[in-house]
Amino acid sequence: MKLSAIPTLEIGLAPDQFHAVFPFHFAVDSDLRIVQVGASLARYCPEATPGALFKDVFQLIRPDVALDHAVLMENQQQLFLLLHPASSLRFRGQLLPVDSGRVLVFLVSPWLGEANAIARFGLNINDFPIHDPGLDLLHIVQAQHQALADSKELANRLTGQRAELRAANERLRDQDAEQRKLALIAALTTNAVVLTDARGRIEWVNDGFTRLTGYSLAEVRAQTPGSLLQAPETNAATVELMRRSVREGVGFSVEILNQSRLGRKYWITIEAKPIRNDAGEITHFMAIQSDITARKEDEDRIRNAMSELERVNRVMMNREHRVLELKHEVNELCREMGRTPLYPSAASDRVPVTPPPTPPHGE
Amino acid sequence: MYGMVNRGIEQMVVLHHGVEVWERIKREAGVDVEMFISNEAYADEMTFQLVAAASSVLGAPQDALLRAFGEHWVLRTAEEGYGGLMSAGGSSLPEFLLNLPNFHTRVVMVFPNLQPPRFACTDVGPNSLHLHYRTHRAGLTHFVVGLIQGLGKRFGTEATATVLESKAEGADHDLFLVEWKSPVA
Repeated sequence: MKLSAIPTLEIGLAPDQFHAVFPFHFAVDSDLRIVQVGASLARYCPEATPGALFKDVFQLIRPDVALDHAVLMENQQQLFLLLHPASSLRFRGQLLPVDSGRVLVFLVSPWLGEANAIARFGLNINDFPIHDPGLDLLHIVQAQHQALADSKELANRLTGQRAELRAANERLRDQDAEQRKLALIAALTTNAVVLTDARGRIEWVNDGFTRLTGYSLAEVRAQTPGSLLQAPETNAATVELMRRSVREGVGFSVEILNQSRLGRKYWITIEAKPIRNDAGEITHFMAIQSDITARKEDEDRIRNAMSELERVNRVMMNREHRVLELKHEVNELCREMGRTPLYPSAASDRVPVTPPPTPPHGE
Repeated sequence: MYGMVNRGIEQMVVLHHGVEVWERIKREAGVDVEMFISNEAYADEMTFQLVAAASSVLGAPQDALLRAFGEHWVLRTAEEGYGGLMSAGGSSLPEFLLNLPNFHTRVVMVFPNLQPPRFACTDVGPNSLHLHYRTHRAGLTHFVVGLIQGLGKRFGTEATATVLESKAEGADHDLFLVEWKSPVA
Protein backbone atom coordinates (compact mmCIF):
# COMPACT_ATOMS: atom_id res chain seq x y z
CA MET A 1 0.00 0.00 0.00
CA LYS A 2 1.55 3.28 -1.13
CA LEU A 3 0.69 6.57 0.43
CA SER A 4 -0.18 9.28 -2.04
CA ALA A 5 1.58 12.58 -2.19
CA ILE A 6 -0.66 14.12 0.47
CA PRO A 7 1.62 15.60 3.10
CA THR A 8 1.71 13.33 6.09
CA LEU A 9 2.67 13.78 9.69
CA GLU A 10 5.35 11.12 9.33
CA ILE A 11 3.59 9.04 11.98
CA GLY A 12 5.67 6.11 13.09
CA LEU A 13 5.84 3.98 16.11
CA ALA A 14 8.47 3.98 18.76
CA PRO A 15 9.67 0.42 19.56
CA ASP A 16 7.69 0.25 22.83
CA GLN A 17 4.54 1.45 21.04
CA PHE A 18 5.14 -1.14 18.31
CA HIS A 19 5.39 -3.83 20.99
CA ALA A 20 2.21 -2.57 22.61
CA VAL A 21 0.10 -2.75 19.47
CA PHE A 22 1.67 -5.96 18.06
CA PRO A 23 2.30 -8.07 21.15
CA PHE A 24 2.16 -11.31 19.10
CA HIS A 25 4.59 -10.18 16.36
CA PHE A 26 7.96 -11.66 15.59
CA ALA A 27 10.68 -10.73 13.12
CA VAL A 28 13.20 -12.88 11.21
CA ASP A 29 16.32 -12.02 9.28
CA SER A 30 17.10 -13.12 5.73
CA ASP A 31 18.13 -16.60 7.07
CA LEU A 32 14.65 -16.80 8.65
CA ARG A 33 16.24 -16.72 12.08
CA ILE A 34 14.13 -15.02 14.72
CA VAL A 35 15.47 -11.63 15.74
CA GLN A 36 12.62 -10.11 17.73
CA VAL A 37 9.55 -11.46 19.60
CA GLY A 38 6.52 -9.65 21.02
CA ALA A 39 5.82 -10.12 24.72
CA SER A 40 2.52 -11.97 24.31
CA LEU A 41 3.92 -14.33 21.69
CA ALA A 42 6.86 -15.10 23.94
CA ARG A 43 4.43 -16.12 26.66
CA TYR A 44 2.63 -18.75 24.57
CA CYS A 45 5.54 -19.78 22.31
CA PRO A 46 8.55 -19.88 24.62
CA GLU A 47 10.75 -21.50 21.90
CA ALA A 48 10.37 -18.32 19.84
CA THR A 49 13.51 -16.69 21.13
CA PRO A 50 16.04 -14.65 19.18
CA GLY A 51 18.35 -17.01 17.35
CA ALA A 52 15.79 -19.78 16.85
CA LEU A 53 14.88 -20.70 13.27
CA PHE A 54 11.39 -19.98 11.96
CA LYS A 55 10.94 -23.61 10.89
CA ASP A 56 11.84 -24.93 14.36
CA VAL A 57 9.04 -22.91 15.96
CA PHE A 58 6.29 -22.49 13.34
CA GLN A 59 4.81 -24.23 10.34
CA LEU A 60 3.69 -22.15 7.39
CA ILE A 61 0.15 -23.29 6.54
CA ARG A 62 -0.71 -20.54 4.05
CA PRO A 63 0.53 -19.48 1.62
CA ASP A 64 1.51 -23.07 0.87
CA VAL A 65 5.01 -22.16 -0.38
CA ALA A 66 8.60 -22.99 0.43
CA LEU A 67 10.08 -21.43 3.51
CA ASP A 68 12.52 -19.24 1.68
CA HIS A 69 13.28 -15.58 2.08
CA ALA A 70 12.83 -14.70 -1.60
CA VAL A 71 9.63 -16.76 -1.87
CA LEU A 72 8.21 -15.10 1.25
CA MET A 73 9.04 -11.70 -0.19
CA GLU A 74 7.12 -12.63 -3.35
CA ASN A 75 4.08 -13.57 -1.25
CA GLN A 76 3.93 -10.51 0.94
CA GLN A 77 0.43 -9.67 -0.38
CA GLN A 78 -0.90 -12.98 0.97
CA LEU A 79 -2.75 -13.58 4.22
CA PHE A 80 -0.38 -15.62 6.36
CA LEU A 81 -1.56 -18.51 8.53
CA LEU A 82 1.02 -20.12 10.82
CA LEU A 83 0.80 -23.08 13.16
CA HIS A 84 2.68 -23.33 16.42
CA PRO A 85 2.78 -27.16 16.71
CA ALA A 86 3.90 -27.16 20.34
CA SER A 87 0.62 -25.51 21.47
CA SER A 88 -1.60 -26.12 18.40
CA LEU A 89 -2.22 -22.36 18.40
CA ARG A 90 -2.66 -20.84 14.96
CA PHE A 91 -1.63 -17.32 14.12
CA ARG A 92 -2.89 -15.21 11.26
CA GLY A 93 -1.64 -11.90 9.94
CA GLN A 94 0.56 -10.05 7.59
CA LEU A 95 4.16 -10.19 6.44
CA LEU A 96 5.83 -6.78 6.54
CA PRO A 97 9.33 -6.54 5.05
CA VAL A 98 11.37 -3.71 6.54
CA ASP A 99 14.81 -2.37 5.87
CA SER A 100 14.51 -3.38 2.16
CA GLY A 101 13.53 -6.90 3.14
CA ARG A 102 16.55 -7.55 5.31
CA VAL A 103 14.06 -8.08 8.13
CA LEU A 104 10.66 -9.77 7.71
CA VAL A 105 8.17 -8.79 10.40
CA PHE A 106 5.21 -11.16 10.95
CA LEU A 107 2.37 -9.00 12.31
CA VAL A 108 0.22 -11.86 13.58
CA SER A 109 -2.13 -12.67 16.39
CA PRO A 110 -3.87 -15.90 17.52
CA TRP A 111 -6.67 -17.19 15.33
CA LEU A 112 -9.39 -18.57 17.63
CA GLY A 113 -12.34 -20.35 16.09
CA GLU A 114 -14.48 -20.51 19.20
CA ALA A 115 -14.97 -18.74 22.50
CA ASN A 116 -13.76 -21.72 24.49
CA ALA A 117 -10.37 -21.46 22.77
CA ILE A 118 -9.35 -18.68 25.17
CA ALA A 119 -9.74 -21.02 28.12
CA ARG A 120 -8.50 -24.07 26.19
CA PHE A 121 -5.21 -22.43 25.23
CA GLY A 122 -4.91 -20.68 28.57
CA LEU A 123 -4.92 -17.27 26.90
CA ASN A 124 -5.47 -14.07 28.81
CA ILE A 125 -7.54 -11.51 26.94
CA ASN A 126 -5.29 -8.80 28.29
CA ASP A 127 -2.57 -10.22 26.04
CA PHE A 128 -4.62 -9.07 23.06
CA PRO A 129 -4.23 -5.48 21.90
CA ILE A 130 -7.52 -3.62 21.94
CA HIS A 131 -7.44 -3.00 18.19
CA ASP A 132 -7.21 -6.73 17.48
CA PRO A 133 -10.57 -7.93 16.09
CA GLY A 134 -9.87 -11.47 17.25
CA LEU A 135 -11.89 -11.10 20.45
CA ASP A 136 -14.69 -9.33 18.60
CA LEU A 137 -14.90 -12.32 16.29
CA LEU A 138 -15.26 -14.58 19.28
CA HIS A 139 -18.39 -12.68 20.22
CA ILE A 140 -19.80 -13.27 16.75
CA VAL A 141 -18.93 -16.94 16.87
CA GLN A 142 -20.46 -17.24 20.33
CA ALA A 143 -23.60 -15.43 19.17
CA GLN A 144 -23.92 -17.95 16.37
CA HIS A 145 -23.52 -20.82 18.80
CA GLN A 146 -26.18 -19.29 20.96
CA ALA A 147 -28.56 -18.76 18.06
CA LEU A 148 -28.05 -22.37 17.06
CA ALA A 149 -28.65 -23.55 20.62
CA ASP A 150 -31.81 -21.40 20.76
CA SER A 151 -33.03 -22.88 17.49
CA LYS A 152 -32.40 -26.40 18.74
CA GLU A 153 -34.23 -25.72 21.97
CA LEU A 154 -37.11 -24.11 20.13
CA ALA A 155 -37.24 -27.06 17.75
CA ASN A 156 -37.29 -29.45 20.72
CA ARG A 157 -40.07 -27.54 22.40
CA LEU A 158 -42.08 -27.44 19.18
CA THR A 159 -41.54 -31.15 18.62
CA GLY A 160 -42.75 -31.85 22.14
CA GLN A 161 -45.74 -29.60 21.71
CA ARG A 162 -46.61 -31.16 18.38
CA ALA A 163 -46.63 -34.59 19.98
CA GLU A 164 -48.87 -33.28 22.76
CA LEU A 165 -51.16 -31.63 20.25
CA ARG A 166 -51.38 -34.80 18.21
CA ALA A 167 -52.28 -36.82 21.28
CA ALA A 168 -54.85 -34.22 22.34
CA ASN A 169 -56.25 -34.23 18.82
CA GLU A 170 -56.65 -37.97 18.87
CA ARG A 171 -58.37 -37.79 22.23
CA LEU A 172 -60.69 -35.13 20.88
CA ARG A 173 -61.38 -37.16 17.76
CA ASP A 174 -62.25 -40.20 19.87
CA GLN A 175 -64.49 -38.11 22.09
CA ASP A 176 -66.05 -36.49 19.07
CA ALA A 177 -66.77 -39.85 17.44
CA GLU A 178 -68.23 -41.10 20.70
CA GLN A 179 -70.38 -38.01 21.03
CA ARG A 180 -71.54 -38.27 17.44
CA LYS A 181 -72.59 -41.86 18.03
CA LEU A 182 -74.42 -40.91 21.20
CA ALA A 183 -76.06 -37.93 19.50
CA LEU A 184 -77.12 -40.15 16.62
CA ILE A 185 -78.55 -42.71 18.98
CA ALA A 186 -80.29 -40.03 21.02
CA ALA A 187 -81.75 -38.44 17.91
CA LEU A 188 -82.90 -41.62 16.22
CA THR A 189 -84.11 -43.65 19.14
CA THR A 190 -87.86 -43.96 19.47
CA ASN A 191 -87.36 -43.50 23.18
CA ALA A 192 -87.62 -40.06 24.72
CA VAL A 193 -84.29 -38.80 26.05
CA VAL A 194 -84.13 -35.96 28.57
CA LEU A 195 -80.99 -34.26 29.81
CA THR A 196 -81.41 -32.12 32.91
CA ASP A 197 -79.00 -30.15 35.02
CA ALA A 198 -78.01 -31.39 38.46
CA ARG A 199 -81.22 -29.97 39.95
CA GLY A 200 -83.46 -31.64 37.41
CA ARG A 201 -84.18 -28.75 35.06
CA ILE A 202 -84.36 -29.69 31.40
CA GLU A 203 -81.41 -28.70 29.21
CA TRP A 204 -82.09 -30.87 26.23
CA VAL A 205 -84.62 -33.34 24.87
CA ASN A 206 -84.56 -35.41 21.69
CA ASP A 207 -87.15 -35.73 18.95
CA GLY A 208 -88.48 -38.88 20.58
CA PHE A 209 -89.45 -36.76 23.58
CA THR A 210 -91.33 -34.35 21.35
CA ARG A 211 -93.11 -37.22 19.60
CA LEU A 212 -94.11 -38.74 22.93
CA THR A 213 -95.11 -35.63 24.85
CA GLY A 214 -95.95 -33.09 22.16
CA TYR A 215 -93.56 -30.56 23.72
CA SER A 216 -90.61 -29.11 21.78
CA LEU A 217 -87.24 -28.40 23.37
CA ALA A 218 -87.89 -24.64 23.35
CA GLU A 219 -91.07 -25.14 25.33
CA VAL A 220 -89.61 -27.34 28.04
CA ARG A 221 -86.14 -25.91 28.55
CA ALA A 222 -85.40 -25.04 32.21
CA GLN A 223 -88.60 -26.71 33.44
CA THR A 224 -88.75 -29.96 35.40
CA PRO A 225 -90.23 -32.91 33.49
CA GLY A 226 -92.60 -33.77 36.36
CA SER A 227 -94.27 -30.37 36.45
CA LEU A 228 -95.12 -30.72 32.75
CA LEU A 229 -96.00 -34.32 32.36
CA GLN A 230 -97.49 -35.74 35.51
CA ALA A 231 -101.22 -36.38 35.53
CA PRO A 232 -103.52 -36.17 38.58
CA GLU A 233 -103.65 -39.98 38.58
CA THR A 234 -99.87 -40.32 38.61
CA ASN A 235 -98.72 -42.44 41.52
CA ALA A 236 -97.57 -40.06 44.26
CA ALA A 237 -95.15 -42.57 45.76
CA THR A 238 -93.41 -42.95 42.42
CA VAL A 239 -93.12 -39.16 42.09
CA GLU A 240 -91.63 -38.92 45.56
CA LEU A 241 -89.12 -41.68 44.78
CA MET A 242 -87.93 -39.76 41.71
CA ARG A 243 -87.63 -36.47 43.60
CA ARG A 244 -85.65 -38.08 46.39
CA SER A 245 -83.30 -39.81 43.94
CA VAL A 246 -82.47 -36.52 42.17
CA ARG A 247 -81.92 -34.83 45.53
CA GLU A 248 -79.60 -37.60 46.65
CA GLY A 249 -77.86 -37.83 43.29
CA VAL A 250 -78.67 -41.46 42.56
CA GLY A 251 -80.21 -43.11 39.53
CA PHE A 252 -83.70 -44.59 39.52
CA SER A 253 -85.90 -46.81 37.41
CA VAL A 254 -89.70 -46.46 37.59
CA GLU A 255 -92.92 -47.04 35.67
CA ILE A 256 -95.18 -44.04 35.73
CA LEU A 257 -98.32 -42.67 34.16
CA ASN A 258 -97.83 -39.34 32.35
CA GLN A 259 -99.94 -37.20 30.14
CA SER A 260 -99.03 -35.46 26.90
CA ARG A 261 -99.58 -31.87 25.99
CA LEU A 262 -102.95 -32.84 24.48
CA GLY A 263 -103.97 -34.73 27.61
CA ARG A 264 -103.35 -38.25 26.27
CA LYS A 265 -102.42 -40.55 29.16
CA TYR A 266 -99.57 -42.93 28.59
CA TRP A 267 -97.38 -45.24 30.60
CA ILE A 268 -93.60 -45.00 30.47
CA THR A 269 -90.60 -46.49 32.17
CA ILE A 270 -87.99 -43.96 33.22
CA GLU A 271 -84.37 -45.05 33.50
CA ALA A 272 -82.43 -42.09 34.99
CA LYS A 273 -78.74 -41.82 35.79
CA PRO A 274 -76.56 -39.00 37.17
CA ILE A 275 -73.66 -37.78 34.96
CA ARG A 276 -70.50 -36.75 36.79
CA ASN A 277 -67.55 -34.59 35.74
CA ASP A 278 -63.87 -35.55 36.25
CA ALA A 279 -64.06 -34.24 39.80
CA GLY A 280 -66.93 -36.60 40.55
CA GLU A 281 -69.52 -33.83 40.87
CA ILE A 282 -72.94 -34.38 39.35
CA THR A 283 -73.44 -32.03 36.43
CA HIS A 284 -76.46 -33.61 34.74
CA PHE A 285 -79.12 -36.28 34.89
CA MET A 286 -79.99 -38.28 31.83
CA ALA A 287 -83.32 -40.05 31.60
CA ILE A 288 -84.57 -42.43 28.94
CA GLN A 289 -88.33 -42.81 28.79
CA SER A 290 -89.89 -45.77 26.98
CA ASP A 291 -93.57 -45.79 26.15
CA ILE A 292 -95.08 -48.92 27.68
CA THR A 293 -98.70 -47.99 27.19
CA ALA A 294 -99.19 -50.82 24.68
CA ARG A 295 -97.60 -53.27 27.08
CA LYS A 296 -99.76 -51.98 29.87
CA GLU A 297 -102.84 -52.41 27.66
CA ASP A 298 -101.72 -55.93 26.69
CA GLU A 299 -101.25 -56.67 30.34
CA ASP A 300 -104.76 -55.42 31.04
CA ARG A 301 -106.11 -57.49 28.19
CA ILE A 302 -104.29 -60.57 29.38
CA ARG A 303 -105.47 -59.95 32.89
CA ASN A 304 -109.08 -59.60 31.65
CA ALA A 305 -108.79 -62.70 29.49
CA MET A 306 -107.38 -64.65 32.39
CA SER A 307 -110.23 -63.73 34.69
CA GLU A 308 -112.78 -64.59 31.97
CA LEU A 309 -111.07 -67.91 31.53
CA GLU A 310 -111.19 -68.49 35.22
CA ARG A 311 -114.88 -67.60 35.32
CA VAL A 312 -115.66 -70.05 32.49
CA ASN A 313 -113.54 -72.64 34.20
CA ARG A 314 -115.45 -72.14 37.39
CA VAL A 315 -118.76 -72.54 35.56
CA MET A 316 -117.49 -75.66 33.84
CA MET A 317 -116.26 -77.15 37.06
CA ASN A 318 -119.55 -76.37 38.75
CA ARG A 319 -121.29 -78.05 35.88
CA GLU A 320 -119.01 -81.12 36.10
CA HIS A 321 -119.70 -81.26 39.78
CA ARG A 322 -123.42 -81.15 39.15
CA VAL A 323 -123.19 -84.00 36.56
CA LEU A 324 -121.34 -86.16 39.07
CA GLU A 325 -124.00 -85.39 41.65
CA LEU A 326 -126.75 -86.32 39.19
CA LYS A 327 -125.05 -89.58 38.22
CA HIS A 328 -124.70 -90.38 41.85
CA GLU A 329 -128.35 -89.64 42.45
CA VAL A 330 -129.36 -91.79 39.46
CA ASN A 331 -127.27 -94.69 40.76
CA GLU A 332 -128.83 -94.27 44.20
CA LEU A 333 -132.26 -94.41 42.63
CA CYS A 334 -131.31 -97.57 40.66
CA ARG A 335 -130.08 -99.21 43.85
CA GLU A 336 -133.36 -98.30 45.60
CA MET A 337 -135.27 -99.79 42.66
CA GLY A 338 -133.13 -102.98 42.85
CA ARG A 339 -131.62 -102.27 39.51
CA THR A 340 -128.04 -102.28 38.40
CA PRO A 341 -126.60 -98.79 38.70
CA LEU A 342 -126.71 -96.97 35.40
CA TYR A 343 -123.26 -95.42 35.87
CA PRO A 344 -121.20 -98.21 37.43
CA SER A 345 -117.92 -96.32 36.90
CA ALA A 346 -119.27 -93.57 39.08
CA ALA A 347 -120.65 -95.98 41.68
CA SER A 348 -117.74 -95.62 44.02
CA ASP A 349 -117.30 -91.96 43.14
CA ARG A 350 -117.54 -89.70 45.99
CA VAL A 351 -119.23 -86.44 45.36
CA PRO A 352 -116.66 -83.67 45.80
CA VAL A 353 -117.23 -82.08 49.12
CA THR A 354 -115.89 -78.68 48.23
CA PRO A 355 -116.75 -76.54 45.20
CA PRO A 356 -113.90 -75.23 42.96
CA PRO A 357 -111.97 -72.35 44.40
CA THR A 358 -113.16 -68.85 43.73
CA PRO A 359 -110.77 -66.51 41.88
CA PRO A 360 -108.45 -64.53 44.18
CA HIS A 361 -109.66 -61.21 42.91
CA GLY A 362 -113.19 -60.06 42.98
CA GLU A 363 -113.52 -59.08 39.34
CA MET B 1 -34.09 -5.90 27.00
CA TYR B 2 -32.50 -8.79 25.23
CA GLY B 3 -33.95 -12.25 25.51
CA MET B 4 -31.24 -13.70 27.71
CA VAL B 5 -32.47 -11.64 30.67
CA ASN B 6 -36.02 -12.95 30.31
CA ARG B 7 -34.69 -16.45 29.74
CA GLY B 8 -32.79 -16.10 32.98
CA ILE B 9 -36.00 -15.29 34.86
CA GLU B 10 -37.63 -18.30 33.22
CA GLN B 11 -34.71 -20.60 34.11
CA MET B 12 -34.64 -19.50 37.71
CA VAL B 13 -38.41 -19.85 38.22
CA VAL B 14 -38.55 -23.22 36.43
CA LEU B 15 -35.55 -24.51 38.39
CA HIS B 16 -37.03 -23.68 41.79
CA HIS B 17 -40.79 -23.80 41.18
CA GLY B 18 -41.45 -25.81 38.03
CA VAL B 19 -42.87 -25.12 34.59
CA GLU B 20 -46.45 -24.66 35.73
CA VAL B 21 -45.59 -21.78 38.05
CA TRP B 22 -43.66 -20.16 35.21
CA GLU B 23 -46.61 -20.51 32.86
CA ARG B 24 -48.82 -18.92 35.52
CA ILE B 25 -46.38 -16.01 35.87
CA LYS B 26 -46.33 -15.51 32.11
CA ARG B 27 -50.13 -15.53 32.02
CA GLU B 28 -50.34 -13.06 34.88
CA ALA B 29 -47.75 -10.83 33.20
CA GLY B 30 -49.69 -11.02 29.94
CA VAL B 31 -46.58 -12.32 28.19
CA ASP B 32 -47.37 -14.73 25.38
CA VAL B 33 -43.89 -15.72 24.24
CA GLU B 34 -43.13 -19.40 23.86
CA MET B 35 -39.37 -19.00 24.15
CA PHE B 36 -37.13 -15.97 24.49
CA ILE B 37 -34.47 -15.79 21.79
CA SER B 38 -31.19 -14.98 23.54
CA ASN B 39 -30.02 -12.06 21.43
CA GLU B 40 -33.37 -10.70 20.34
CA ALA B 41 -34.48 -7.37 21.77
CA TYR B 42 -37.75 -7.48 23.73
CA ALA B 43 -39.72 -4.59 25.20
CA ASP B 44 -38.34 -3.60 28.61
CA GLU B 45 -41.90 -3.58 29.99
CA MET B 46 -42.06 -7.31 29.40
CA THR B 47 -39.19 -7.89 31.82
CA PHE B 48 -40.71 -5.63 34.43
CA GLN B 49 -44.11 -7.30 34.04
CA LEU B 50 -42.51 -10.69 34.46
CA VAL B 51 -40.69 -9.58 37.60
CA ALA B 52 -43.87 -8.03 39.02
CA ALA B 53 -45.91 -11.14 38.21
CA ALA B 54 -43.23 -13.41 39.68
CA SER B 55 -43.25 -11.30 42.81
CA SER B 56 -47.01 -11.63 43.19
CA VAL B 57 -47.18 -15.33 42.30
CA LEU B 58 -44.20 -16.32 44.46
CA GLY B 59 -45.07 -13.90 47.24
CA ALA B 60 -41.55 -12.46 47.33
CA PRO B 61 -40.62 -8.76 47.32
CA GLN B 62 -39.37 -7.52 43.94
CA ASP B 63 -36.01 -6.27 45.28
CA ALA B 64 -35.14 -9.64 46.81
CA LEU B 65 -36.31 -11.37 43.65
CA LEU B 66 -34.12 -9.14 41.48
CA ARG B 67 -31.05 -9.81 43.66
CA ALA B 68 -31.64 -13.57 43.54
CA PHE B 69 -32.17 -13.30 39.83
CA GLY B 70 -28.91 -11.34 39.35
CA GLU B 71 -26.99 -14.12 41.06
CA HIS B 72 -28.71 -16.82 39.07
CA TRP B 73 -28.13 -14.92 35.86
CA VAL B 74 -24.36 -14.67 36.34
CA LEU B 75 -23.91 -18.18 37.68
CA ARG B 76 -26.18 -20.04 35.26
CA THR B 77 -27.72 -18.06 32.43
CA ALA B 78 -24.69 -16.04 31.30
CA GLU B 79 -22.43 -19.00 31.92
CA GLU B 80 -24.46 -21.00 29.40
CA GLY B 81 -25.19 -18.17 27.02
CA TYR B 82 -21.72 -16.69 26.77
CA GLY B 83 -19.82 -19.92 27.30
CA GLY B 84 -16.10 -19.34 27.05
CA LEU B 85 -16.48 -15.58 26.91
CA MET B 86 -17.37 -15.54 30.60
CA SER B 87 -14.17 -17.28 31.59
CA ALA B 88 -12.26 -15.13 29.11
CA GLY B 89 -13.60 -12.08 30.92
CA GLY B 90 -11.06 -12.24 33.69
CA SER B 91 -9.61 -14.40 36.41
CA SER B 92 -10.77 -12.26 39.34
CA LEU B 93 -13.73 -10.09 40.24
CA PRO B 94 -11.94 -6.76 39.68
CA GLU B 95 -10.37 -7.96 36.44
CA PHE B 96 -13.78 -9.07 35.20
CA LEU B 97 -15.38 -5.73 36.12
CA LEU B 98 -12.55 -3.83 34.44
CA ASN B 99 -13.10 -5.82 31.24
CA LEU B 100 -16.88 -5.39 31.38
CA PRO B 101 -17.00 -2.14 29.35
CA ASN B 102 -15.17 -3.78 26.43
CA PHE B 103 -17.43 -6.80 26.69
CA HIS B 104 -20.51 -4.63 26.30
CA THR B 105 -18.92 -2.65 23.48
CA ARG B 106 -18.47 -5.92 21.59
CA VAL B 107 -22.12 -6.80 22.30
CA VAL B 108 -23.11 -3.50 20.68
CA MET B 109 -20.83 -4.24 17.71
CA VAL B 110 -22.35 -7.66 17.11
CA PHE B 111 -25.95 -6.71 17.95
CA PRO B 112 -26.55 -3.06 17.06
CA ASN B 113 -30.20 -3.35 18.15
CA LEU B 114 -29.35 -4.11 21.74
CA GLN B 115 -28.80 -1.38 24.26
CA PRO B 116 -26.61 -2.88 26.93
CA PRO B 117 -25.80 -0.88 30.04
CA ARG B 118 -22.50 0.99 30.32
CA PHE B 119 -20.28 0.08 33.21
CA ALA B 120 -17.14 1.91 34.29
CA CYS B 121 -14.71 1.31 37.15
CA THR B 122 -12.98 4.04 39.14
CA ASP B 123 -11.19 4.25 42.47
CA VAL B 124 -9.84 0.73 42.05
CA GLY B 125 -8.25 -0.44 45.29
CA PRO B 126 -6.97 -3.82 46.48
CA ASN B 127 -10.34 -4.82 47.91
CA SER B 128 -12.85 -2.36 46.49
CA LEU B 129 -13.76 -0.23 43.53
CA HIS B 130 -16.46 2.17 42.43
CA LEU B 131 -18.71 0.73 39.77
CA HIS B 132 -20.63 3.25 37.68
CA TYR B 133 -23.77 1.86 36.10
CA ARG B 134 -25.37 3.89 33.35
CA THR B 135 -28.56 2.78 31.65
CA HIS B 136 -31.74 4.23 30.20
CA ARG B 137 -33.66 1.60 32.19
CA ALA B 138 -35.00 2.17 35.66
CA GLY B 139 -35.56 -0.29 38.44
CA LEU B 140 -32.72 -2.73 37.91
CA THR B 141 -30.42 -1.54 40.71
CA HIS B 142 -31.05 -4.65 42.80
CA PHE B 143 -30.45 -6.83 39.78
CA VAL B 144 -26.95 -5.33 39.52
CA VAL B 145 -26.39 -5.95 43.24
CA GLY B 146 -27.30 -9.59 42.59
CA LEU B 147 -24.94 -9.73 39.61
CA ILE B 148 -22.03 -8.54 41.75
CA GLN B 149 -22.84 -11.08 44.47
CA GLY B 150 -23.02 -13.79 41.83
CA LEU B 151 -19.68 -12.74 40.35
CA GLY B 152 -18.19 -12.92 43.83
CA LYS B 153 -19.38 -16.53 44.08
CA ARG B 154 -18.05 -17.22 40.60
CA PHE B 155 -14.58 -16.08 41.64
CA GLY B 156 -14.79 -17.69 45.07
CA THR B 157 -14.82 -14.49 47.05
CA GLU B 158 -17.53 -12.84 49.08
CA ALA B 159 -18.51 -9.67 47.26
CA THR B 160 -20.96 -6.93 48.22
CA ALA B 161 -22.33 -3.97 46.30
CA THR B 162 -23.47 -0.95 48.29
CA VAL B 163 -25.44 1.77 46.57
CA LEU B 164 -23.56 5.05 47.05
CA GLU B 165 -25.59 7.11 44.63
CA SER B 166 -28.91 6.24 43.10
CA LYS B 167 -30.44 7.47 39.89
CA ALA B 168 -33.87 6.84 41.40
CA GLU B 169 -32.98 9.43 44.04
CA GLY B 170 -31.81 12.04 41.59
CA ALA B 171 -28.17 11.11 40.94
CA ASP B 172 -26.84 11.08 37.38
CA HIS B 173 -26.43 7.33 37.52
CA ASP B 174 -26.20 4.47 40.00
CA LEU B 175 -22.85 4.26 41.76
CA PHE B 176 -21.93 1.13 43.70
CA LEU B 177 -19.15 0.54 46.15
CA VAL B 178 -18.03 -2.98 45.29
CA GLU B 179 -16.06 -4.70 48.02
CA TRP B 180 -14.55 -8.16 48.06
CA LYS B 181 -12.43 -10.26 50.29
CA SER B 182 -9.25 -11.58 48.77
CA PRO B 183 -9.97 -15.08 47.54
CA VAL B 184 -8.64 -17.87 49.68
CA ALA B 185 -5.72 -19.17 47.66
